Amino acid sequence: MKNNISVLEYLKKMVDGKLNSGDFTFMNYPTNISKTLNMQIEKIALGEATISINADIDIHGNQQNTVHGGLMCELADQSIGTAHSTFINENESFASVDLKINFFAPFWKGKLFATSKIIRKGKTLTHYECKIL
Amino acid sequence: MNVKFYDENKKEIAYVTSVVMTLHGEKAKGR
Repeated sequence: MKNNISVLEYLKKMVDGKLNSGDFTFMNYPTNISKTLNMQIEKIALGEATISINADIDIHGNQQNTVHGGLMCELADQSIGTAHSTFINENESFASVDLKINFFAPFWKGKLFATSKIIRKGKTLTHYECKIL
Repeated sequence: MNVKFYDENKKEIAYVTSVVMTLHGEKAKGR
């Protein structure tokens, strides 16, 4: 039986491994880019998300042999987009209009976690922060 | 669910801020 549920409910069930065969939502999860890069949703709540990736310079390395900053940008954007999708209704969509990243340290190999939280929510524009650990 | 899945003392690799625009009505339909 088809069961149309909210994005938040769908993602919670997905994270908990409790999706039923008929469960669906109007957004596409897991996203194609997250399948390509093998990113996982670790934690989800209203306006909050943590996404992980097993980063490895053998796959994601740049010319300095560290994990490429673009991968961190994508990880953060996935996390922020997933957090924001929990607010989206069926007749709405969303787009990132700004992303600023500060790199504190190089990374070589291991699991990275990007955790996003809201700074300010408006009707049209919502500001987020995301920490990559 | 408050399961600790990583060490919160783990080194911070990057800090990001972002602005997301919610699209309503016709703009939400896209292509």
